[in-house]
Amino acid sequence: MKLNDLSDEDLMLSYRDGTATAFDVLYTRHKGGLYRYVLRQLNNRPDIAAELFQDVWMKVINARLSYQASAKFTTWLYRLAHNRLVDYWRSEKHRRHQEEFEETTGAQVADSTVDNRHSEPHNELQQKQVQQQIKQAIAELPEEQRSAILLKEEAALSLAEIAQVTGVNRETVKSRLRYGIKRLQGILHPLRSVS
Amino acid sequence: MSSNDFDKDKDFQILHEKYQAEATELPDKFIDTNILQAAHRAVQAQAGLENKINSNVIKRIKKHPWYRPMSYVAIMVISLSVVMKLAFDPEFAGPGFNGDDFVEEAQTPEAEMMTTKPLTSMPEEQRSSVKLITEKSQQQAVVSELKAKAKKRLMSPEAASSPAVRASRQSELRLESAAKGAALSGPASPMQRAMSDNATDKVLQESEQDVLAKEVISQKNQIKKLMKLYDNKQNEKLKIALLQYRKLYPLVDGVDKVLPKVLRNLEIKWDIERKKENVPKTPQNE
Repeated sequence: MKLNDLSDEDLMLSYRDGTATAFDVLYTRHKGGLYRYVLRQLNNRPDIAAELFQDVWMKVINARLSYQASAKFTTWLYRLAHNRLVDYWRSEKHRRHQEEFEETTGAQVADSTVDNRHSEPHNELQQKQVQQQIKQAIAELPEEQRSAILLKEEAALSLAEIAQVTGVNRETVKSRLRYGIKRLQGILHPLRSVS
Repeated sequence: MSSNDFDKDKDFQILHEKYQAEATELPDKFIDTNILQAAHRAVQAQAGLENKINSNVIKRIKKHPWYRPMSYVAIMVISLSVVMKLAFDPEFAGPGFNGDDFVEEAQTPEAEMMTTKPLTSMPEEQRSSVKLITEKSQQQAVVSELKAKAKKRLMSPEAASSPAVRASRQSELRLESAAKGAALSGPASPMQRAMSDNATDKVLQESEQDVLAKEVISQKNQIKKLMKLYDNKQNEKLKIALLQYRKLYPLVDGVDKVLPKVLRNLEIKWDIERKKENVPKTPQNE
């Protein structure tokens, strides 16, 4: 059986047992999703995102010997990432950055959202603008709602798995997702008619 | 709303569509390289460590080929000796040591009486039977202790050192055996007493024979030495040696059957001389 055909859990077990190439496959599968999850959580700051992203994978490497396939690998991976992000947010440095970010970009995002609400994207440039708006709108969401939406989008986790990663119950996750989408309706409604 | 309901939600579908179209960011290539290298290094280090441990163990075994068999033998010997000790040593082979026996004993009415009720609160018959049991066990303990003592002393190398020590030990043993006899003369059965007597006497006889044999050899050697001194005409040394000999082997009823006549005559002669010298000078003697 080829390594590519193996599940995430089997790959991780194989890596634990000494097959280094299994990790390569695993990394290739999840690097994009995890990186974007961290990036979006950090308001699209690639330098910090890269640092935290590396930290998460290092934790995976170091915890390989104690890994047991009792839960889904993705859940475990994103839980590590979530915990790392929580640690980061707890630091004072980040709080300062967060405040600065809110002061400078918050107003711009709101304006651009309002401006584009009633216009229809006809060309590629407009399409890109819409996507940018979505990205920024997600960055504007409260941390819990943003986490829930990103875990759904990037890791394709179920409600129960998101609950497991974020350490809350399933109902809380559901309401966070609902409120998050409601907040994004300003951008999503004009697009609804188009799609 | 379940997870699937969310997927069917129009707003969520649009969000998903637009988000996924935009989700193209990837980490830099150098980050990929760093992480993959770290992952490979970790596996190699782990393998290296395991190899090192394995090779160390193999080296140790190769260096000392006796290492494993020797340890197995040692374990066997120790466990066998423990088993033998438990099986044959009277200290361990008592009734309390066997679990079943212990339980059975504890269930007997006598044992129950001994553990639960005070002696004074029992009726006369029970009290006498309890006393009987206690005395029996005490006597057995005394006998086994005496046996062990006798064996130890008689087996020691100094047992044949001097007749004085030997005599004292023998008397001790006799006393002990007498004490044992006294102990057994109590409520123990005549059969038990006879068996115990036989065993103790056997031990005593054997040990006495050993001591005597050693003593005869040493006495003969002494006499040989004395004869040598006599042949060499070293009278002064012979005098002292005869005195020492006599201290070690005193006369029995004024007779020494082992000492040669020549030496015995000399001893008598020198004894008379010594006595004469020791008599204080009085005017009458003068």
